[in-house]
Amino acid sequence: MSKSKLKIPAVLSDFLLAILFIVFFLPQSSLSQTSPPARELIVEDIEIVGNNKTKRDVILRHLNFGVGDPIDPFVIDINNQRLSQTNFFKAVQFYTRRGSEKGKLVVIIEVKERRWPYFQFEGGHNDLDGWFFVPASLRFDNLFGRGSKMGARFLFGDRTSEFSIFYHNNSLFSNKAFIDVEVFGADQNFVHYFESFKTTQDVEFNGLRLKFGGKKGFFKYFHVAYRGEVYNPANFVTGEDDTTINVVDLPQSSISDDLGETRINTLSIGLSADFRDNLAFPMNGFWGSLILENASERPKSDVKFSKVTVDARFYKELFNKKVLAFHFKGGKVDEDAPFYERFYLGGANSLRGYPFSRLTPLGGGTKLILTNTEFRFPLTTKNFPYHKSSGVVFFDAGGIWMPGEDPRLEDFFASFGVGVRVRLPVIGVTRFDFSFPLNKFDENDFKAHFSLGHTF
Amino acid sequence: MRKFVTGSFIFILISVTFPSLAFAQAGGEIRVERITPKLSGDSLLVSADFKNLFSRKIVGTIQSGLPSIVEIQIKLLGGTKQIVRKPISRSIEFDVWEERYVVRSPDTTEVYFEFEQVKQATNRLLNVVLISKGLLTATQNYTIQIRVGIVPISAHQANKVSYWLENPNQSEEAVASDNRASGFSLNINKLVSFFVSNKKGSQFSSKWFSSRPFRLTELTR
Repeated sequence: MSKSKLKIPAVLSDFLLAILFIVFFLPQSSLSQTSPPARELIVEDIEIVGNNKTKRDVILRHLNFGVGDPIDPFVIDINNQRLSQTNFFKAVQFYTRRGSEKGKLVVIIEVKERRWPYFQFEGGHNDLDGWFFVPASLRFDNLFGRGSKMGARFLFGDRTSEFSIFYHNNSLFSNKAFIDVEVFGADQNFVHYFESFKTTQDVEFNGLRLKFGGKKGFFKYFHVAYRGEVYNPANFVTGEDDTTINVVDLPQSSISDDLGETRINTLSIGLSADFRDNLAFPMNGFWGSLILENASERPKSDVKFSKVTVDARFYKELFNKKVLAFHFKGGKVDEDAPFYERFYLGGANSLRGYPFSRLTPLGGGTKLILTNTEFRFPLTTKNFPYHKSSGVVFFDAGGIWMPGEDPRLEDFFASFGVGVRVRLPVIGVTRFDFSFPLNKFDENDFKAHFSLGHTF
Repeated sequence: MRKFVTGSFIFILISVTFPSLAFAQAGGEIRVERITPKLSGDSLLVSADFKNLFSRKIVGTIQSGLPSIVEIQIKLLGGTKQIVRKPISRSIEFDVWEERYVVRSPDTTEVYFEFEQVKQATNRLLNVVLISKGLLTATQNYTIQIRVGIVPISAHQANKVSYWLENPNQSEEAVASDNRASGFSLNINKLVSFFVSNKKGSQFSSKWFSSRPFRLTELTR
């Protein structure tokens, strides 16, 4: 294996450039303020009723209005949703009454507190886990009335099973910072292709993940994280016909280099920003994230590598709710990174038109570029942006490279296609994509993808 | 690892046997009285009175300047079969600067200067056309069912339970290095409460009230 390590200073300079890019290319609309109409109702006070356990400031910090702000039914709706979605309460109801003078009013929030933990069923899809469901996760939200969340969940997936215990505190340092802690044990099947022969390799891993970030001002865009994990890959792969092959009998690759128990400790710093105008069907705005991760002597890691990943999404309404959406994802990792830390390409949430990870070189890629371009148009308009269905025409392009290879345009894969998104009760947005690869693989000339949510 | 994971799952299953909580709303005091069917021309009409529609909280909300909505549901049943269902919606808004009340229906707008006038106008359903007489059978027994509710501030609050069913929390990755994920979550406790509480009247909505059974031949014109 050749050794071409990332230079940390170079990565840092990329990081700083990306910060400048994000800061200076923020959509102007997100920064501008509209002047208030002449006659508007103003909040004189906020009263909270029924919160025997929950602290007043816990409720207030979930509201996006305060005393002195203008208020209308739309603001009430939004804030009713925000409080209801905390799962702290069995019921939330907003009322108002006249204030001390004309045009002023008092907002009364009546809550019924949840006194017991609750159970949640979850399902979904992600690229590495495949389809998964969580039969029941146990949640202790609003611990001691301070808004902290704690829970345990068991995840079953077609490629993953996992048990985890998590804790989330969203109000550190007077509501200026948050911390996430997760302890987990998992078992995951990684997909490897030998020519067109698909195999999976079982990898057990467990560990601890910590994430600490800001919530206000400049620091709300930043977080730092620690990951301490122990990986134990199986020494064989299993084919689709249930044949097993010893990894040491396979061609030399990262897979055979990465056998045995491996401890990985990483520290990372991240920058993320979300300026989308709405989450259900973004029409204008930007979402971006940049992560720099390093595994080195401190804290002690059996393998040492650096990894940088950038993900950016842009949305622009062209006309009458017709939206052009663009997604870019790029990444680079040192060649010393084991296969389970590397990049993959292909699949419903990656480069469509190809099976999951089909374009990934054996042992995983160390450089990745992925772009998805979509023209989105609602097929129904009632309850927009929570409308029933929308259509998509898309073009995907991307490339993935092994250690020692430099990205070249001729290495890119591409596909185009059409899709529909249908909002179903309970499940939400369900996605059907029909994609035509422009680079033929395994004689496939058409691929249908079924997944959940928008692609990005 | 699989043993660990399986053991953990059993732990979760045991935990699930904790009693689930069903959260029914307190019984509503709003009532529908004197449901009266009537024939007029070629149509079946209905009138009714509502009681206790305006609680102190609702009155306070309206008089602060934010609109409330009165929602009326009317069903005509032939035996147990639903023949027609008609929703009616009226918004009530107080202009705090002009000090007048505006009551809006889909086809009318009325202005009042006293809240008592608003109550009189909205506490009564008067001769609402339900269906053409020609679509009914003279000898069949019919029943009219009505429920009424009032939604403080906006329509959405009344629908918030079904809102999370229609629009579940769909997760997505938070940072670039996360796997691209999309999924849904369903709060089991909320689901239980949805099925339990949906059949009952709530704080701001009546239960269904029925007229006495009637035949077209018995009705006055």
